[in-house]
Amino acid sequence: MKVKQLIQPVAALLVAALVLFLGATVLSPIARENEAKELQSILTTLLPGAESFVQEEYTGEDEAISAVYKAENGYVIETVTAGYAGDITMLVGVNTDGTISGLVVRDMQETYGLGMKALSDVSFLSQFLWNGTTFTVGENVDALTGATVTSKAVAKAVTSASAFVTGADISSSATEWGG
Amino acid sequence: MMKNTYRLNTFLAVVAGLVFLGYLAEQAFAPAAILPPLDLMLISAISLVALVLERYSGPRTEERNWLAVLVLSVVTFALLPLAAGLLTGQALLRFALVGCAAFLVLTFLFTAICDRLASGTASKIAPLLSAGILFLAVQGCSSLFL
Repeated sequence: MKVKQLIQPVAALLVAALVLFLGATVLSPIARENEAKELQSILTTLLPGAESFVQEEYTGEDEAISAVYKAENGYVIETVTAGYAGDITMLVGVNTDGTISGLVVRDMQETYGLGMKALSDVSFLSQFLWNGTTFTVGENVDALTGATVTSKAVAKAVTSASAFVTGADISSSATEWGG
Repeated sequence: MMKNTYRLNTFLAVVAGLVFLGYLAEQAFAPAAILPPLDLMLISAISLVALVLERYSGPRTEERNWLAVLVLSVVTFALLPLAAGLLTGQALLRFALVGCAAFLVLTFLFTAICDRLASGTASKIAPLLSAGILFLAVQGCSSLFL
C-alpha cells in the first residue's frame, strides 16, 4: 500500500523535471537574445554618445574587473567586488579622461533597506558622476546609512573602472574592502 | 482530502518546480530583475510552503517514512535545478545536500511546533504561524554565517 503511494510524489517529480527541461530548452534562446538587447541598452545609457561597443579581453591584474566594453568615446567596465552579503556586480561607464559618466548595479544580495539602497539611491550614486577618478568613503564619498561595507565595495568598483582607463595604480589600501 | 503519506514530497516537487520555472521566466523576459539567490533561505521558503500545503490539504500524517522523505527530497533538490539548467556540478551537489538537510530539520520542527499549537481555534492558523516563525529563525541563523 505504502509503496503504491510512492507513485504520486515520484510522478510529480518527473513531471516537474520534464516541464523545467522543456521550459529551459524553449526559453534559453529567448533569454540570450533579451539579455544581449538589455546589455546594449544599458551600455548606451551609461556612456552617452557611444554608438557601438566592442568587448575586449581584460588581461590586467585587478580582480575587481570582469569585462571591458570599448566604445569610441570611452569604456564601460563590468566589475565584481565583495559586498556585505555576497558579490556586487556593476557596470561603470568611464569617459576617456577617467571620469564616470554612469553606473548601475546589475546584481547584489545586500540587506533589504540598507545595502540594497545602492541599487537606487540617487544621492549616493550621483556622488560618483563627473566627480574625479578616485573614490574613498569618508573622504569624497558619503556612505549609505547602515551600509558602509556596501558603499566601500561600490567605491572600490568605480575606482577600479576609472583606473583601468587612466592607468592609475590603485593597489593602495585606500580602496581595499573594509579599509 | 488527500490521504497519501508522501504528499509532502508531492507538494515539495510542485512548489520547487514552480519556483524554478519562475526563475527561467525571469531570465527570459526580465533579465535586469534581481531574484533571491539559490541558497538556504530559498530552500527554507520552498520547504515551508510545501509543509503548510501538506497540513491544509488533508489529515495529519501520523507516521512518516523518513528514509523515503530523505531520498525524495535529495532527488527533488538535485533533479529540478539540473533540469532547469540553473545549477551544475559542485554547486548543484551543495544545493541538493543543504536542501535535503534543511528540509528534514524543518519538517521535524514544523511538525513539532504545529502539534503543540494545534488546539482550539488556534489550530486553523497554526501551520501559517509555525512556518512564519521558522522562516524568521532560519533567517536569523543564516546571518551568523555571513
